[in-house]
Amino acid sequence: MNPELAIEVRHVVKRFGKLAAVDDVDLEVRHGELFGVLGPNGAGKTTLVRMLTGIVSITSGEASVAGIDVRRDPDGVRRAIGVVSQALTSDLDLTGLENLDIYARFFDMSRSERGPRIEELLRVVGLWDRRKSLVKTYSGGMRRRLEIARGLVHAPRVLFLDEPTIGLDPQSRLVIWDLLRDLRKGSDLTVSLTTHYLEEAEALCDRVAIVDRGKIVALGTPQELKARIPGSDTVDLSLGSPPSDARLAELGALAGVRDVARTADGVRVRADGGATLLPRLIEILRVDGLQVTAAALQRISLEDVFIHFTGRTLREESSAAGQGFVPPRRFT
Amino acid sequence: MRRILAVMERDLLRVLRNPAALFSSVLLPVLYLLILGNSLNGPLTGLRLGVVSADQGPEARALLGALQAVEQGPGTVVIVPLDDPVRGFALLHEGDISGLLVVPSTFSHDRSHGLAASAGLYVDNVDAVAAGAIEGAIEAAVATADQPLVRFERGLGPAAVRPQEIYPRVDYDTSLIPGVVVMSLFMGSMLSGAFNLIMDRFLGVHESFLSTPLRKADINLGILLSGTVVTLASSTLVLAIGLLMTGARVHGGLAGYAALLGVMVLTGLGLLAMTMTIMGRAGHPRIAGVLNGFLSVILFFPSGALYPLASFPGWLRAFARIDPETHAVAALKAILFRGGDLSAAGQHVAFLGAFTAVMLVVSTLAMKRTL
Ligand SMILES: Nc1ncnc2c1ncn2[C@@H]1O[C@H](COP(=O)(O)OP(=O)(O)O)[C@@H](O)[C@H]1O
Ligand SMILES: [Mg+2]
Repeated sequence: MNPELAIEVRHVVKRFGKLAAVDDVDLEVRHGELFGVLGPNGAGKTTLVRMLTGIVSITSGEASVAGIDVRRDPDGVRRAIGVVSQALTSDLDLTGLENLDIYARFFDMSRSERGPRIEELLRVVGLWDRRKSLVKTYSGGMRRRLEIARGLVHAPRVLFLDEPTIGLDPQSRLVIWDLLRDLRKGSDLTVSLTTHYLEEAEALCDRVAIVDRGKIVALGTPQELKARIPGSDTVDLSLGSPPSDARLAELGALAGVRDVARTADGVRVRADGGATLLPRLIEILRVDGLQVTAAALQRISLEDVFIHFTGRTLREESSAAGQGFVPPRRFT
Repeated sequence: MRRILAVMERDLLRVLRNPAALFSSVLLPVLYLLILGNSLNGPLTGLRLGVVSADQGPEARALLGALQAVEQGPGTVVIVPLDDPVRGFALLHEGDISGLLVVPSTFSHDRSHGLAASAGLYVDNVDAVAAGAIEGAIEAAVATADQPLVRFERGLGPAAVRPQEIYPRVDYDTSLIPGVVVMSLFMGSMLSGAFNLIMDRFLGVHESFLSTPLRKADINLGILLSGTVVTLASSTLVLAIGLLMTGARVHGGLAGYAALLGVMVLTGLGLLAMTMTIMGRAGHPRIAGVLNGFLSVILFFPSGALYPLASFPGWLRAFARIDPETHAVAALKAILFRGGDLSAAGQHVAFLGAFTAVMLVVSTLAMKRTL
């Protein structure tokens, strides 16, 4: 396999009985990249990550991480990677410091290696002052930050983050985003991040693979993905009275306009470069003496990309499926 | 080694920070010792025995006198004099009295004429233990009543005698100590070891283990060693409380104590590894609960901790021979009660050693390293 790649996935399949949770996936992630896997609940993101991190077996296909074959040398892979799984997995009855120290010993790190490394990480994630508190006294965001620090304690080359901000309040989510950006500064750490939050993929990822039902349906930088959709901007104009068919035809004939449709109180135009078209659109409608009472320009989001490639919205999907598997809370 | 110790320390810390479960593995066996020691085999007392005597002769009076001696002495029975056998049967039926002795009018006559004399004894055999105790008391009384006569009158009719053997209470308590120590070892192994692993899996915490280079043996040994520390701590406490409660002494000095600890470590580790083998792959703590309840019964009761093995039917004795708790109880009994001759425990220790070694290997092989 190609040593230039941090993660290489070829025709990987994972079956649970009849269900192909991951269905013939191909991926290439370069060193130092922050790669996003975006998809609704049940798309197969966690299953993909678990296969790449040696937690579940691969049904068929080949995968390598940090240049190491996952099937042939799972232990080698485990040493080279850090994993922050979707479920919170730090020990509630241990302190933050104990959690990291014990985890570091799983990787055979000596005391002198562990001490400074753990202090550095706890400071980065802002938990140094709380290191001696039991994790059960931490908030969800703190616990997640601790687990990110834990995933990095043995200085892995590739870090897997599975839905790192799931279930967090918006503020904690932003803290995690900042943390991830900071961690990447001046380091060649490769990060594979899965999420079902579009904003997260857009805000953080260099490239994004959109997955649905175990398959990759689109792959590229957020900009590339958006550009692939014709009519990437939407202009909504509210009008004093309905426009004539002649004017609508005129709008549709403008360069860059893909689609024109009546709405309840006006007209919706989908176009490339909506911002530059807006004055021209208003001008044309004015010819009939129509009042433009409001104008809204919506630039395309990954949401639209998702709808475009799957025919469904991400949000409906994720709210219908709830939170996916949430491990029961332990009684304390 | 660093990895095994890390797994062990993690497990131990979590147990130590939730000590409630630990207390129960000490408290329950001690309660057992208290309750069993005082109820099961302490002599029964105060059983109400109805007596209807239609005979005023000397033999009948001797028998009643001997019964009164039992009433005054060990107090097994309280005599309730009755006139009417019919009334007596009614009381027996209602459970008001536990036994009814009917002495026929011919009792003295028959006995003094060398005939087999019989008094009717009716016992409420709904409660077999009480019935047995009353029978025993009356037979003892018959024997006592006989004694002066045996010497002087050769032609006396036979009267059945059964030796009644009652341990002094303290001794029965003491004989329970190995059993309750083994019980605390089992309970400790139930609350740590495989249970911790199953709980981790259930909570999803386990996943963080799987993406590290920990090997099966690291995980298994770490968990089993921490369980051994836990079981050893609670069973040592139970042993100490048991010795204090009964005033028993450990023979053989330091070597005796060391031998006890050795057997306890071996038993604890063996039980932990066995539990890990049986339920190490379970995904829900309820499975562990059910299996533990089952194991605790089938391992403990045939182990000879409460009743002597010799009284079991053959198939149960065959099972008892491969029950690790049997050998643990036997080894502890040998060390505690055979006056410091540790070699008496040898064959049992050998069995425990082999059992533990096999279970360690099997549980490691059976360990699940993926989700
Ligand atoms: N251990 C399992 N056994 C059976 N089905 C599973 C298992 N794990 C996941 N699945 C199924 O595989 C599909 C993908 O799940 P998952 O990888 O968790 O999705 P995501 O992380 O994208 O939400 C789902 O339909 C899920 O029900
Ligand atoms: Mg998931």
